[in-house]
Amino acid sequence: MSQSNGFVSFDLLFAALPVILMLAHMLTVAEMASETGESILQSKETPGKLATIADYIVKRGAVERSSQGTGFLGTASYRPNVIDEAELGRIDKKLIMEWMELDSLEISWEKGEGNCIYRLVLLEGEVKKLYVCGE
Amino acid sequence: MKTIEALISLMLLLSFTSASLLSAPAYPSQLQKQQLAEDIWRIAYLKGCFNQSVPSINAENEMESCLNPLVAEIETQTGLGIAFSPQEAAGQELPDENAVVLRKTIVINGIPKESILHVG
Repeated sequence: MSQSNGFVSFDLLFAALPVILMLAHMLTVAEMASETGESILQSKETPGKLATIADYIVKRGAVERSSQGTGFLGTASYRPNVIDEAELGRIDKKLIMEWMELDSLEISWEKGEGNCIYRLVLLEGEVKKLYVCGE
Repeated sequence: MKTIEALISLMLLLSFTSASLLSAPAYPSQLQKQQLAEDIWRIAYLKGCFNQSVPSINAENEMESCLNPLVAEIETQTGLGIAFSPQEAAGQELPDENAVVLRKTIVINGIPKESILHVG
């Protein structure tokens, strides 16, 4: 009797071992898939944020402007896609990073690190690419 | 036991499938192409390609003469396929079937006409 009980236990152990190994492997793969999915979703979100920031810069934030009159704090006229370097330098990148929940933000005429998008603008009459990069 | 093994295999398959279905976005995306198309139109306007100071029978040719070098310059910088129609202004590469299409109204000799910009 005790000999047959021992035999049954061994059989159960050898049957359960592959199941335990598969479970462990499945949990590891599920964790890796979840991390991959999270980073891919983030990579889809960041270009959208950068596109929004670039749109603001190119349409209002860093464009040439002229003010007229003083009523209602004056009337400003903006020239979208015509960049004023001085205005570009005055863009508050830290504030924008805070609003958009970005870890880094770079706005320049050269492609930088991380995710980058660009817009086409005029600078002193010349067509140039303005890069907005961030993570 | 076999049921447990089958269930575990199914969960594994679903994990792989979901990871492979989430693919990274292509660049530039349709939104970014749309924004670049608006930029190209705006730059062509700022460069005076659609301004007509006096009526002229050569108005369309003058527009093409202004647009062609601009398109070539932007194509060199960006690698995008750009084409204006009916003004026959296009770069070396023609826009593909996923091109963004912008339709705008311009005035030629006092007559409003449609101008179509393809960017892709």
